[in-house]
Amino acid sequence: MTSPRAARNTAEATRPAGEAHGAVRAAAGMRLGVAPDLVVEELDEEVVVWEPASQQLHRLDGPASAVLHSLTAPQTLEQVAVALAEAYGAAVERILADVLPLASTLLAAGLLVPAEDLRT
Amino acid sequence: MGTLSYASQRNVSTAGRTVAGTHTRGDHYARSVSVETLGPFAVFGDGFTVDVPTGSSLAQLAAATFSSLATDAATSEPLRLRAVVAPGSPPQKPLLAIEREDETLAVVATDDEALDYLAWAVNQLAISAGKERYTLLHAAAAATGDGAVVLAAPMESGKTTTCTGLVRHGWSYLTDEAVALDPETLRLHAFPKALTVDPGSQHLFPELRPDHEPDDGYKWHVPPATIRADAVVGSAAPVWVVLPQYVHGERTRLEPLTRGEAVMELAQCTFAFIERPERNLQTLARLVRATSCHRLVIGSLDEAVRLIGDLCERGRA
Repeated sequence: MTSPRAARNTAEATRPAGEAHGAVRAAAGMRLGVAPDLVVEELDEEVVVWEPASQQLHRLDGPASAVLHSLTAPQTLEQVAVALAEAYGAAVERILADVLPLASTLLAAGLLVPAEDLRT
Repeated sequence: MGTLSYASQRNVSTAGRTVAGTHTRGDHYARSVSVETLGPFAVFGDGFTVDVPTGSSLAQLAAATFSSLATDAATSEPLRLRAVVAPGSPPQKPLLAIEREDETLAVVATDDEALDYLAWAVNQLAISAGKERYTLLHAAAAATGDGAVVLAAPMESGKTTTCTGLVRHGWSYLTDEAVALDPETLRLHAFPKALTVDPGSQHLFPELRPDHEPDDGYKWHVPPATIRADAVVGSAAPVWVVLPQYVHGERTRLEPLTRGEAVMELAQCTFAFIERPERNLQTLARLVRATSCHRLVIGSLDEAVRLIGDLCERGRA
């Protein structure tokens, strides 16, 4: 049987590498977008995503799927945090503190890419 | 060697011979190396036949084991499986060569081994035939008038045991090995092979003990009609997804799964998922949206069957 390699819950199970995390923190102003060619299935508040390059299936829970949704159109993580803070009635700084590691994880998993890569 | 285990099964020899009577393997095989062809059989539209020593005990066992896959429909170029006396085999203790077309899969000494290899080859055919047209799950499935339950899990998790328990309890049988999920209609299509009851579960089904009494440690290949003449159903709509997990001594219980969790588990149980990832993921997502999804921790078969029955009752309420 040939089965997909599955990251059970990308947002929880995959700890961001320090380098990737630091890179995202440093680049909170960098524009990110959803990687091309993903197969995305929305299931209630969860999202299951097939990432073809690594042939991995990822399950994103509510917060991670919110970040992914927010980046359907490329924008900065600061912009994502502002939008989510407004939606949830929370402080931008607090939301940004959650968004950064999630985005780092999604970036490391290949689900997000720098916006400039989307143009090539 | 005992008499034919599943005497109610119709004979499926294309040669029109009736396989009857009993032969000891050594005695018969030593006298004859002629071959009869059983079939045609079909899985997911692909045909196969099985060559066995004429009139042998293995011929009886194979005819019974594959009877639920018999077809009257013509299939082009059916796969040819063979269990024939191996060349150079000593007459006093003949060995059987198990062949798939021109490939020798194994050389074995007993009918039980031969039957296991033939059943394995049929499962392989089902996978190769089914994965193209369907999202094919390594799963068992049984149905009531309300719909079907998909029992998906890795090997040794209790799929066949639970499925056999359900069929014994009145449910209809679709498969204990490969669930074919139609991406267009979302219907489950049957692969109603003989139920493969592992040695560890055989004590739960004493009424299904084959008359020919396989050696200790061998699986029972139980034709579904042995449980009930009309046990097989051709297709059904899925209503429940249950992921069984046998845990000795554990309290039997159902635990709800989120749809995302269910898709991740089902993807792990999908044959050749990565060959058609988009189609397979979309089909699995549709499946979990259309069903209620649970993990089933099994300590007791009777309790597991009761809990699945309760799901069915709840659906009606």
